[in-house]
Amino acid sequence: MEDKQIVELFWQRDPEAIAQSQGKYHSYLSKIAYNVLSDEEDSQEVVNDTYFRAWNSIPPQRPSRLSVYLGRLTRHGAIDRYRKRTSQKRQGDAYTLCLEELEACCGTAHDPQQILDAQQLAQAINQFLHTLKPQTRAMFLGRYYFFDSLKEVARYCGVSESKAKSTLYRVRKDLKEYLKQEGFDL
Amino acid sequence: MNGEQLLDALEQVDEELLVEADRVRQRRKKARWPFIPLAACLCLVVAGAMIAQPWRSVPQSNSLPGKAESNQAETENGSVGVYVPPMEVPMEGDAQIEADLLSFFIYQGRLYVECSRAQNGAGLVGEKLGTSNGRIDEWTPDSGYVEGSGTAWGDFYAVNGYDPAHLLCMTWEDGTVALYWNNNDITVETAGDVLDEVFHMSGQVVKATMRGADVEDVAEISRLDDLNAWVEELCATPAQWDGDSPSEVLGYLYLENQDGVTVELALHEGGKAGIYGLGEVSFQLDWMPLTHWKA
Repeated sequence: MEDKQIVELFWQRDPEAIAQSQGKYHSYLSKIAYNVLSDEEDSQEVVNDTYFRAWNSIPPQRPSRLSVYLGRLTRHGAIDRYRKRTSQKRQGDAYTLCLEELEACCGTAHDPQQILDAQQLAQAINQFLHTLKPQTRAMFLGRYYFFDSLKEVARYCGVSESKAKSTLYRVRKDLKEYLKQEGFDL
Repeated sequence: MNGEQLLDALEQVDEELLVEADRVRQRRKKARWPFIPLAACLCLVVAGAMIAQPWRSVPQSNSLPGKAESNQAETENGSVGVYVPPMEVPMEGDAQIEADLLSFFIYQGRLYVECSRAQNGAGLVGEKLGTSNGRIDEWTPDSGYVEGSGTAWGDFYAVNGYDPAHLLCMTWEDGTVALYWNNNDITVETAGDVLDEVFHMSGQVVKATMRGADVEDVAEISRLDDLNAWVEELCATPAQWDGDSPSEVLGYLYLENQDGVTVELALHEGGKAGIYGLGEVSFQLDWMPLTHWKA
């Protein structure tokens, strides 16, 4: 079923919308959640929660790309759950690694006095991403949006792992410079 | 700002960028370096003297248009790297050649050349993969370069934690572990293809020693954080071919990671660095800061 038709089911409050979403995107969403949480049970809970949140937000939302919409909900839910799971955080898991890599780029400041305009930051990041070549952008988003491992990023971009690592290193450096130029305090 | 704010901000990436990235993620790619069966046309590089062997030329299909004679090669994803061909040398002199053969063996169509030794490397020795008959010498004809042959004699093993397509090892009676690297018939795009992918050095150097042209001028690098950052920068540096204009070597840098694996870098004039075993390939990165990090 096309995304448009599934969204229409949501609008009509037809529970078939959930079944169709599950059938089409369950493994896709499960991978996003698992990449962050590294736990099957937690991931499934987050994905099931995604369908619940979708049900409660469509309408009024009318997403054109259901995969992106559901993917965002799942990513958000997985990150939230990870942050609450303080006792089970593991060194070396995907979220921690990605966080460490990005912190090398922007620092670790948790200044309660600093009010960061999230919208401005998101806008700057989008502008920065548009300056990248498509393959480089796919590497960056694969790593820091989808939390894919370096090995996977290298595989689907058709490069060696070291090439992926060095490309991401360069992009993080460029992002740091870009954000500085845009006036962000790093 | 902190990393979590960045991760959160990414949630609002433009939809079309996510769709584009997702399309790439669904791709399946073939192996980057196809397995090339070894024909009987390999060569030896010897220390001190040279012995001729026929060699395999750069495959024309990999060369850039109009650059059939160069060492530039186009990789599968369209980026440019430097092709390191099988080592070859011209015939020089005739009789009375004192050949000091490099230690190597042939496994699964790849030629592995000894590149370094680890004194306490017992933990590196993995699964036994085969035995080299040690029968190759300077008089071995082409037909002698076959699977399981080599100048090195003895069993060879995988190196724990390292890709056997790149790195294997042999052990000596005194416990020394000799590492053998498949350093030829490969394409190198950045130093990371070797330092990171083969030798796992990026961010993992635990000891580094610098030596000048004078063998007695040796000093350990004390600022390892700075060194590791420099190595990471080097890993991102593109490879270039210096065969036409080789530069003078002004010093050497020896890197060792936590596994005891070591790599030797040559520090050239003009701010270039080379990796021992890669021939005329160099990487343009200023190494002068290293001189300020010595103990």
